[in-house]
Amino acid sequence: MKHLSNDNLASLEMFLFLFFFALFGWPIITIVDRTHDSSIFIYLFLVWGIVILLIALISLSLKPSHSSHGTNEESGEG
Amino acid sequence: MINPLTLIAVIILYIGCLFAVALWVERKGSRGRKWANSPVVYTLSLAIYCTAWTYYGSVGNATKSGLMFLALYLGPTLSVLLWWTVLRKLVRIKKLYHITSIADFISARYDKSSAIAALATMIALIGTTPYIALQLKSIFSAVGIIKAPELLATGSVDRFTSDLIVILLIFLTISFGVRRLDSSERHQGMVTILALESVVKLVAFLAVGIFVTYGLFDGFSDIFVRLSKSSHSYLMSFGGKEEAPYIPWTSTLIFSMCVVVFLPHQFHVAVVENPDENHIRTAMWMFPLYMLLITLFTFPVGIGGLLKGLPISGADGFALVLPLRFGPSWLTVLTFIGGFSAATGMIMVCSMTLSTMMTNHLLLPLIGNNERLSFLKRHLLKCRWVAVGAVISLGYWFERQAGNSYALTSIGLVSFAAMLQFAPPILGGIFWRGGNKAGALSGLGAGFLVWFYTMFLPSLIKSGWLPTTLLESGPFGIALLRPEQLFGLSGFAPVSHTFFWSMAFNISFFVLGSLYFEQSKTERSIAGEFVDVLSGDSVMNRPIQGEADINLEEKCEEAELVLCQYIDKKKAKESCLKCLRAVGIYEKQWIYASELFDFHNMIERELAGFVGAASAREAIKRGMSLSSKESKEISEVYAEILADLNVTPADLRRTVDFYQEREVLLNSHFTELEEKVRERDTQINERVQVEEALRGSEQFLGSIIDFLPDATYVIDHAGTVISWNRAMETLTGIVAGDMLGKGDYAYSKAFYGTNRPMLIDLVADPIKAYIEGGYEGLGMTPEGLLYEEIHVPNFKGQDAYFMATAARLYDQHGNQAGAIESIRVITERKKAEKALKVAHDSLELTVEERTKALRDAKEHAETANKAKSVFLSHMSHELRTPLNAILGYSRLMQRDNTISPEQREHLGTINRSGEHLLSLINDVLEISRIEAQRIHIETTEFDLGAVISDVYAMFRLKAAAKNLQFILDGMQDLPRYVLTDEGKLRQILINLIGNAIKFTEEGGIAVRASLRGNSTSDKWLLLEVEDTGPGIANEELEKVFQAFEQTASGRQVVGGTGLGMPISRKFARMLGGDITLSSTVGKGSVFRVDLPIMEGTKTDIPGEKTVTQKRVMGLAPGQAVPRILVAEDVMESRALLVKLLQMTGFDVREAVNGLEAVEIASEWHPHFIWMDIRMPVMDGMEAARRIKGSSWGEKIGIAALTASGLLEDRDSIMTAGFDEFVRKPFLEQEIFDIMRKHLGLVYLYDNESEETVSQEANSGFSAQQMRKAMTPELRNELLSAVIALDTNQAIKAVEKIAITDPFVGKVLMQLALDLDYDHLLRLVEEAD
Repeated sequence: MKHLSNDNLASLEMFLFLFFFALFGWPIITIVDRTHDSSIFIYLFLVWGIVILLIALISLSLKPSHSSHGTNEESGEG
Repeated sequence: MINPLTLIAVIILYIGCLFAVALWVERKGSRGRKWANSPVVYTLSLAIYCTAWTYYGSVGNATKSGLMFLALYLGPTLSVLLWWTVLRKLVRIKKLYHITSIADFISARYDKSSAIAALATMIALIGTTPYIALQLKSIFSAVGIIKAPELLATGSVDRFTSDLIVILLIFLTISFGVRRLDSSERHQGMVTILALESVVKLVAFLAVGIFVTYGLFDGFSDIFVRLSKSSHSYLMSFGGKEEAPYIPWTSTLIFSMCVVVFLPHQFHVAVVENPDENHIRTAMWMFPLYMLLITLFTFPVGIGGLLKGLPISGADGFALVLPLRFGPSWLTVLTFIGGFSAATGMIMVCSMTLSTMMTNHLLLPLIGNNERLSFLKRHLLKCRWVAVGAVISLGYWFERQAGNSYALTSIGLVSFAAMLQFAPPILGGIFWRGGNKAGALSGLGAGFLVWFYTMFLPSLIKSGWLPTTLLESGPFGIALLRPEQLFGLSGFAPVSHTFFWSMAFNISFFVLGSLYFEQSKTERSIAGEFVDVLSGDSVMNRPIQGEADINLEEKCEEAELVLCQYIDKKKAKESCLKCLRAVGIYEKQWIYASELFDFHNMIERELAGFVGAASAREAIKRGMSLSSKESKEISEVYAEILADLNVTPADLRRTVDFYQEREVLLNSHFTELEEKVRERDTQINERVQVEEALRGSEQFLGSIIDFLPDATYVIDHAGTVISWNRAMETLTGIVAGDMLGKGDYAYSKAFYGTNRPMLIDLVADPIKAYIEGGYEGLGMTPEGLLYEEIHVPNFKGQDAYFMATAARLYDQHGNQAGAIESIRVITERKKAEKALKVAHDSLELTVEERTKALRDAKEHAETANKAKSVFLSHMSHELRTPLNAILGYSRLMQRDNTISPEQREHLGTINRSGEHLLSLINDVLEISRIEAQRIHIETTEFDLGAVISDVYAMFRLKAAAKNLQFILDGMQDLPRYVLTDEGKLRQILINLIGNAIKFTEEGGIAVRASLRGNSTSDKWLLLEVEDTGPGIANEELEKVFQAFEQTASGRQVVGGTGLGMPISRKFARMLGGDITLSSTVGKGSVFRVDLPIMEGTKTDIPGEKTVTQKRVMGLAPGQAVPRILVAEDVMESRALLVKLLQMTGFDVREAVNGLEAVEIASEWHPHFIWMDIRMPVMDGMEAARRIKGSSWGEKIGIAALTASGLLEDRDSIMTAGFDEFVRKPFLEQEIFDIMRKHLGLVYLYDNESEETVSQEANSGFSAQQMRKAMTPELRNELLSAVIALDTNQAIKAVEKIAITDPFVGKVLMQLALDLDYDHLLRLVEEAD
């Protein structure tokens, strides 16, 4: 998978954040909840699942960070 | 109902498992295998976000506010979208600055301000306390529900249990989280435990959810349908009964976005414990997925509880109560463990990170300002332990005070709102360069105060600690300042209200403060580093300025002194060396000023890991200052860099630091790689050495096997030959080279000509080999070795036998590595065995034949012996029967007074001859019985002295007749009564004394008696008979005691059978003693008799009386004439007895056999019966048995008359019913005495016949007759001749006597001619 550049990543992250924040926020959630039935339950978990799926895809496309290898902080003592 | 003990056992077991896993992980980690470095473990450790609040509280929340609880998890999910930027930045900064906690992070950002660190610590402590209280409450409630399910709403535990739980939690936290000082180091064991606990709580809650949704109901739709029809249908929304739910929903979404990272414990696991930035990528999707799964059933569980009629007040416990009431016990226990895990994970991490903050940011600044507390610097670890206890105890105290006033959700929100105050300074710090210390300090303070006023204070008021007027009217009655309606803002839920105002104040003050106050240079520099930590693209080399004239040793000492204030000397030295290596000046003596600057920075970062950035900065400032020269040189270096690069100092510093960090990381990586290479080299060397040792061992083993004298070979686990020794080569003719490496039973071809399993295969692969078979004569030694004797009919053309022994071979791990078999040729041995077997069989046959022959011989001997006994018995009978007649008639005739003296003399001769013959027969029979061991000892108690005196008296005259001195000595020392066989003792004495007198012609005989032995049970009678006879030669001494043997001197003396001495010795030996003889030829002999005796206890023995034997002349008048039946087949014997009885006056009838006797007896009823034993038709025993068995014959006395000389016949005869036993030839006196005894008869006696039986029997005339026949002169003459043993003189004297009485003269003449001086002497003495 092609790795996302830092600029693209930041933009995508922010876009998705705002998008899903909107999906989970007023007024959409109020509209979904208008019928007071199981649709709100299904809606929330469905969108949640989609978010997770998207994050998983994004995380796969993230360029691994190289600055974290071989840290000297880890204890041998435990 | 769950047994509390079971629950305790499960908890202990669970904690034990966690301990074991933690220790295992840490041990593995110390060996380089860092299991906790896994991204999955990292993600699962983040799941401590789902605490008991999620586990229990969200269920309760769902029953009140519907799906509102989901906002707590959707917020973090949204924030995760930004983690690659935000969280990665935090992690990167943490690594650069050795950040130990969230307070340390904020402090580090804002000029390493101690004040900010202290404030952040205070906020964290106060804000987290309710959250810890929430966890404790959930544990206590769960335990309370388990103990008393009926008290659902008020589930709680007693004080003791809650104290115990708190102590356990403190112990767990210290054990796993606070075991070392460097807080920036990762806690692998603890992180692994957190991950495990996350798995457990997820599995547990899913199990409960599935049970409720699909066990108690028919799935989600069923629950939703039922809910829509119930009074709780309002819960099917995201706000429940809330009028404007979107406000709390949105506010919860926002602050949960923040707190998922900014809660102290979340910051710790997400940032401080992060081992690798790339783990964030996994956590970004896995953590939301975890939250989705764990909350998927929260709503159904809550609604399920309501639908099952559980009270809404106890909704927080639905997750536990539902399985407890409706489910299996294991599910309840699992649910409890899940809740326990959710609570303990949070408490452990939270108290651990708070303890670090408290010591670093509260205690250390306090120590810095107070010298008296400086000693605590060296006890920071212990201070942290105390802090852990204090934090948990504070939470416990809060739970006790306010726990019952709030639901779990409410308590959690109080904490969340407090922790939200960290968001502006942190986010502002990493994204806004302008944020400064003043802004952060004022923002944090303001936000915290607002939180305290609008949320914490109301909670205290609601708990009853403060008056409610403050809540209702505001302070001083100012309504605008009412805590929950600040500045008149109403309609908001308390959480939204606090969220709004605290954020408004916090952000406002932060921004305004930062804008109003100017940043310091350092602060600007740090701000740049924080904001741009993920950037930094240029690479530059630092120019070297000046000279390397700074003594590194001195600087190291300074650094160690600073470090030693907080850690021990050894650790300080290690840290210092670590910094030297990181800077690249290790092993240098002189360094440049720029290198010193780097060294200072590195030491500060190292120290920050222990005490936090702020305290580290202060410590370095105090202990490691730069001289003016050093400062100048550093300034020049950086000025030149700036000039060259045309960049700002901040950019330069950032870039330098970035690459320095890169360098450190690369150096570290390099060092690690070097270490790994060294380890690998060591491993390779070790392996080479092991292989060489193995080869050497194999060669050594091979040599040993080769040396073995038995043919031996070895196969490996695949059946391939790996060793074939020299003996095997010799045996089979196959060299090792041709056999090594071959498999498929190739080795068997040498023996059987075909490939087939051998014994070695049976141990190598038992099943396969057993199936293929061919084993016979298998055996196993006690040590477990298998052996088999093998017969190969055609081995190299010959019949051959082998003994094979085989065993398995194992490698060092105990796995089967192969097998070994040793083969020994035993052909010669088998041949020898065969020959031996033939010989053995032959020998057995011979032995059998010999045994049979011996058995036959024995049978013959026994038959012969029996025949001999029968013969002796018959002979005795046959001899005694005529003797009986001879003696009987001769005596009977002597009773006749009408016979002439000459006839009487003839009768006397007949009588004496008969008696001599009878004596001979008796002696022969005696020796025969002794040899046949048919003589029995009859022990009686008798007068010993009387017996010896009697015998002595018997021979006294005889000795006198031979003019011998006859002495009896030692009688006074003997006990009077002894226990032994009197008869045999008497016989021995008679034989010995008689023998001595017989062989002694001059001198004398001495009889000495004595006793030896002290104890009553060990007394011996010693009798010595010494004579002055001719003596016996040594070589003839033993002949004396041999039957029918005579010595040279014995042969010179006529008379005697030669049986006296053998009989005496045998008697003595039968009595337990012996007779010994010592003799000197020409001087005499001494016979010694040794007999064991027992002293008697009697004082007198009755019945010992002299029986005067008178001749019976007839029955006394006045008595009825007894009827006597005589049964005897021999006419002479029968007639003798009949005549004797008839002459005496008895009414006698006779019978010729037993049957006739029975018939006569049955008709005639005799008073007494004399019954012969051996008779034709019916013997006497059967006749007696019949008579005694009849009614009429029961009282008839029957006496047995037998000519048998064998005493043992007496017993068998008496058992037939006889009353008496008389041996032929009988004495008249015996006959009459027996009848007197049984019939009570009184006899008439002949007074003149008053003489001893022996006299009468020996001479045939009476003493009176003797006195008449000789004058006193003649008697003295005869006595002198007899004593002098002068035969001629004796004959002359007798001839003179014969003139007076020819009969007496003739008898005496015969005695003189017979040289029977004894008899002659006795007769003369009796006549005196």
